[in-house]
Amino acid sequence: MATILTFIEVRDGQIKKASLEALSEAVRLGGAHGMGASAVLVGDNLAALKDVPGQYGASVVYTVEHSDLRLYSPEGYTTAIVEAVRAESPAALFFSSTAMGKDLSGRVAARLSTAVANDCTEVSFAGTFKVRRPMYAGKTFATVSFTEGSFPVISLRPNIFRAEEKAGQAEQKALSPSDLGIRSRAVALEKPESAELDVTEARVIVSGGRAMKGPENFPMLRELAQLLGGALGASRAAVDAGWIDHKYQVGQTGKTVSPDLYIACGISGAIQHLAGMSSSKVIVAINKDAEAPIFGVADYGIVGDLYQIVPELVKEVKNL
Amino acid sequence: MVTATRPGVFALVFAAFMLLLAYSLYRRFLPLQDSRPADVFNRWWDRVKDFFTYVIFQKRMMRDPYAGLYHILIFWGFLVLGLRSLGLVLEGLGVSLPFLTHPAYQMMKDGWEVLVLAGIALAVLRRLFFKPERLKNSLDAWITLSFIAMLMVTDLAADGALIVLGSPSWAAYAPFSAMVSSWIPVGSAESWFVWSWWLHILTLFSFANMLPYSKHFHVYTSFFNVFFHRLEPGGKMETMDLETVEDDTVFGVKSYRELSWKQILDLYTCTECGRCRELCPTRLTDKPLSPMEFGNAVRNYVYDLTPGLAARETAGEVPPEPALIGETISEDTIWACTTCRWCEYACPLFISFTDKLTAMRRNLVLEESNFPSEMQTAFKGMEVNGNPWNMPADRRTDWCEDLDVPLIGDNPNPDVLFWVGCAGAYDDHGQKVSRALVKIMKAAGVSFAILGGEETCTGDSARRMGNEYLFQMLAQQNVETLNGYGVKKIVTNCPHCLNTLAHEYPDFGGHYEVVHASQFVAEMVSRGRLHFTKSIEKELTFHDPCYLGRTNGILNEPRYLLEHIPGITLKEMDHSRERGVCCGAGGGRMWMEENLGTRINHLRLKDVEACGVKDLAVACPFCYSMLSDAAKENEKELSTLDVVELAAEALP
Repeated sequence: MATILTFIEVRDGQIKKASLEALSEAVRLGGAHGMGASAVLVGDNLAALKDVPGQYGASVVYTVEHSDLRLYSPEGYTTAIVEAVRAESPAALFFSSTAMGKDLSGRVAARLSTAVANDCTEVSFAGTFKVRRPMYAGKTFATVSFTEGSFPVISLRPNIFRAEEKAGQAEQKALSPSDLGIRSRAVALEKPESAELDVTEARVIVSGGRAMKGPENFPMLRELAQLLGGALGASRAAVDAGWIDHKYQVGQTGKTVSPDLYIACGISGAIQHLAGMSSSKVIVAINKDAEAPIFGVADYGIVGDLYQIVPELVKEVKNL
Repeated sequence: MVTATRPGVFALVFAAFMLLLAYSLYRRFLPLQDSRPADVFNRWWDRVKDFFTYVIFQKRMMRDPYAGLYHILIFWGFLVLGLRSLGLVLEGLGVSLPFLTHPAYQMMKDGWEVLVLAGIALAVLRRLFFKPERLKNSLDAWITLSFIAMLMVTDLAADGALIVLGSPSWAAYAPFSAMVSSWIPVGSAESWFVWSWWLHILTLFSFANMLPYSKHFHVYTSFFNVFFHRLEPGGKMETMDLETVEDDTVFGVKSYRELSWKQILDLYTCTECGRCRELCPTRLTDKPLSPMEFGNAVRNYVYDLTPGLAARETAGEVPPEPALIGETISEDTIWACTTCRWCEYACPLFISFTDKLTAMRRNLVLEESNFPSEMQTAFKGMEVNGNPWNMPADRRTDWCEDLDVPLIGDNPNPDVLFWVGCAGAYDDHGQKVSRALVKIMKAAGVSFAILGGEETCTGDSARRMGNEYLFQMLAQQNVETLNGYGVKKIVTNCPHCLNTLAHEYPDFGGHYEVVHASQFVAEMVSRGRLHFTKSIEKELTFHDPCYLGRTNGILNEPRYLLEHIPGITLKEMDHSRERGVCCGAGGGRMWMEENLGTRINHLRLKDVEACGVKDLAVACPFCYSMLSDAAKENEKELSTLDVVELAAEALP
């Protein structure tokens, strides 16, 4: 039985959630059309992770382990994935459309002399694979069909497909290519010190503006952000006043964010700020001034003193 | 007739001087050979008129009456005495021009020499005792003043000695030379004459030779610089040809080669008076850009290239060329400019600065893709959604959903098209102003329409941030839309939109009569179509937006409106009208962080505060944003309102 092979991305010893989303989609699509699902893991010391793809429905898991693959190597990973494709002869190859996935999808497709479709939001199968991908910042969609005989390499947009656990166990196959073809080697990975979640990556952002009055009031917002598993943000007014570092700034000249939940505390909502956050899924505004423009974009508005409301919120979230 | 020299001796000195001067001027000419042509050989009559206004009558110098007075004394003195110098040179060569010894000329010359000396004295007093902050004392300046004084004194002494020696026919008409003659002992009069004559000639030759190496090169260049100054509207940027691109095409300016000869002449012409520094917002807030220093740095860069260019001419070894961007002019300097054009208004010699700065931005953006990262949001917004905030294009008409505002499709031949602008469409306060203008137009019974979703950013910021591609894309799109509807007259509340629509769109085939909302409403009032009945008890001041006032000359109409609203008392700031100081948002600075020096908007707020008012009227959405923010940031009780809002409030 042919399978859809999914590349499982490992970063910092963890499997990326987006890869499991892609794998689950492979399992669903494959199951509907008489195909199985397989997976390939690339890295070093993968013992602890090998079983995970099986738990999401993969029947075969290829592992390519090598000390040179501990850190991401575009060449080494490409060789490893191509090796797995050769071993499995799958019907299609899935990636998640992360930075690494997009890098690899093109390289692997080139190595296999085939086509690639990136950042897809829908995949279907009717004899051949067909995908839908957004273009021009989502203004329009392209439907792309792979021609018969061409091997489809497809990357799936994260946070679109559902990752589903299945009780199962996969057959383990280890591959060890004789030559990884690595020409450049990452020696070490140095990360910025902050352990805090970056505002652009957070799904929840608690942001403070001019009404924060000073740096001493930000810990209150930071606590709420941490309780919600989110990050701290700030308006330009707060950053300009020197209360908080520029890396937290959301807006025209700061970061552009679109979290699931954006809580704006004491931010009037000047357009310079809205430019950075108005595409957030749910916006909650807390402001004393009922006329503040932030209420124009907010889904939920609280007219009141943030120094009373935020502590209440913190208390309630702690009780959950 | 007494002569100071034999023609042979003088001829040798004169030849040496001419050779040296020719060499100096040749060196200055070398960089011009590689430069681009300038489109200035046109509109001759306008050029002659401007030449008389600004060179002969020194109109811009007269803005500072003290400096204007002594400068015009010295300048006119030069014109009169230039003839005298010519006469002296000819005399040395053994030729005499009779009219130069005519009593009428002698009288004029005699008087002007003293007037020039008086001018020099006024200049010295100013430099010593009440030097304006903008001006820098320099050795160069002192040497120049000394040289000029020396020329006058030696000439008076020579003519004084001549009077002692033989009472020439003109003696009675030259009272000052006669006065000097009374101090000259009869016995040594001849040596006085010879010494003075030679000292005068040698001073003249030295001075003339020093000029190409001095900031006073303007003595030679300013005639040409003013005559060939750009006659197009000040706010219009040069349109780049993006269609014909060769392998060696350079976008914007990255070396002297991409400057036009006129732009290089600009640099040569600066006499470092510092007028451009006086109200330059970036200099006053300690940013790396000060127009004079910028111009001088580029000029010195051009001067430093000269040996290399000379070596190339003689096939010698060419030294490496210093880089203009990065080495000579820092990127921070290039990005600092707000294009408020104070410097270009202030310069008596029509030296322009924004053209050079924005051309360097073009090079950075179009060739290097090197620009402050935060500009990316604005670029992307303009490109994708037609507004710099990147707000959804389909929400452009949200501001008027509950108003009955006709789209141009529904009112195809309106008296006027209301160009809402991005701020007017998306910004909370901008929307209020747009609604106010709609209320006014309805009250005045004006037939108007908007483009609605078909309107997109004019591209003013994109162009001034160096992204000419993006600007032209937006310009073409807008012109196509406007021409498609046959639009003839446009009213807008954004001075930046106004400037671009009126002056920059003609290059793309868009020719419209464009008026600012304040002009439009003022006209309605003056024609009796609007009456302000409600009193607004406010004592306020008005901030002139740079693109409205200085650049487009719309100074009176906003004031006319404010003065016609019952209850309003208008108090002027120290720096108002053409001397208004920038809010800090022009030239795309609205979309950049202001990380260097102090805040421009805070600086401007001080002018408002000094006025002692609690209300500020503006006429530009960017100025509103900058100045109301400045008040909040400084926790000042200041309410900022648009002139149009006030006008709407005063309606019945």
